[in-house]
Amino acid sequence: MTNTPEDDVLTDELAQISARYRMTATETSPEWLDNAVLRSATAQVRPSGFVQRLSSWVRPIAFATTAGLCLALILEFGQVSGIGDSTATGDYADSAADALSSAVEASGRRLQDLNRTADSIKPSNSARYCTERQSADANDWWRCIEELQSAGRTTSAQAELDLLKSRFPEFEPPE
Amino acid sequence: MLTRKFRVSIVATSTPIVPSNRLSRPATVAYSRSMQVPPEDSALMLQYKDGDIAAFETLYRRHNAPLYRYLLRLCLNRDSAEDVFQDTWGKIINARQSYRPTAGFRTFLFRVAHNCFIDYLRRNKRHIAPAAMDPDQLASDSESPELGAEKSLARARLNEALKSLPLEQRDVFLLHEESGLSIEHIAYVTDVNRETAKSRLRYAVKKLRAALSDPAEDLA
Repeated sequence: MTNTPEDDVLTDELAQISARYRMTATETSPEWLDNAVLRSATAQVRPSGFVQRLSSWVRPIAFATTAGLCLALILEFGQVSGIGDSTATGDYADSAADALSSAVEASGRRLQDLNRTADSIKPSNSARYCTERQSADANDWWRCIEELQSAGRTTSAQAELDLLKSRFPEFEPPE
Repeated sequence: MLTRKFRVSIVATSTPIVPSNRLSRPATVAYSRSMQVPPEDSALMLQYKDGDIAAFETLYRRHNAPLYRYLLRLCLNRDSAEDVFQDTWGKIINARQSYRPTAGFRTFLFRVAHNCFIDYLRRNKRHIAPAAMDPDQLASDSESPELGAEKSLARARLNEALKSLPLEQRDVFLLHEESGLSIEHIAYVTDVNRETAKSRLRYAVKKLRAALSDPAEDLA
């Protein structure tokens, strides 16, 4: 963009006016005003004493709160999985797997116990269907069992039969 | 492979290239090449953004006097000028965190000052009656009494001439003198187009020349 003649005239006139202006315009801002502005600038960067003290505590408090929350979560997880003292090692994944396998083993053992208990459950004397006199002899005992079967008491008959076989293993029921 | 028509020549210049259409005045500060290049205004403002108060003080010392003189002669009232001056720097300080060096700092500073002055006018509903600025109050302490008296007289005449200008013309003239901005940037500061700003400056210069033209008072 090139200057027009009008621009050149303006430039010359402006230069003369500017020279007179520069000779007279020598004021500067008063000191109190400078201090006020600089104080304001400093306050913007450095907060007040109370705010500064408060802000200096924020980071340690935040760290402590985070650590406390983590510890609470760890303890909570420990109680839920039943790890107990094994958590002292810190290997929570392995402890959880161990806890699961031991729980399965315990369940299996419990089932076996229940089976053994079920197997070992014998009708007590008070629950006997054939008398002691009848069970003294295998043939008499068999006749009692047949009576139970003919009466439709097949469970009782089977129980008596099992006892008969255990006491008289060589006995062969007649056809 | 470059052909001859794409030959490029690099010209090194030792002086800054100033656009020919820029209505500028000679630089008032000259420094030799051996001096360390002072940090740019934007760099200082970014340092202040990072918490460097010394950087802000450097920036402030660099611009406080021109800004003060601009507002002093714009407001035509010392108290008003000081209020607007403090408002301006307050806004600059508050904008510390959001500052982006997209435009020159001087342009930014004077635009904020101009807007603060406009807000001040609107708050007061009417332009504050310009209290006569006593030239003696403005005299520098370092000046000799004789020179001070002569300068006071010249200052008084210039102030009266400036007071007679319409606000928009005075604004543009003072921006040209104190900020050193180009017409384009002055137009941006005053929120008008380039031709309007140039026209205002032209009328201001014409009126000032007429008001100050007196062969007996020629200080050249």
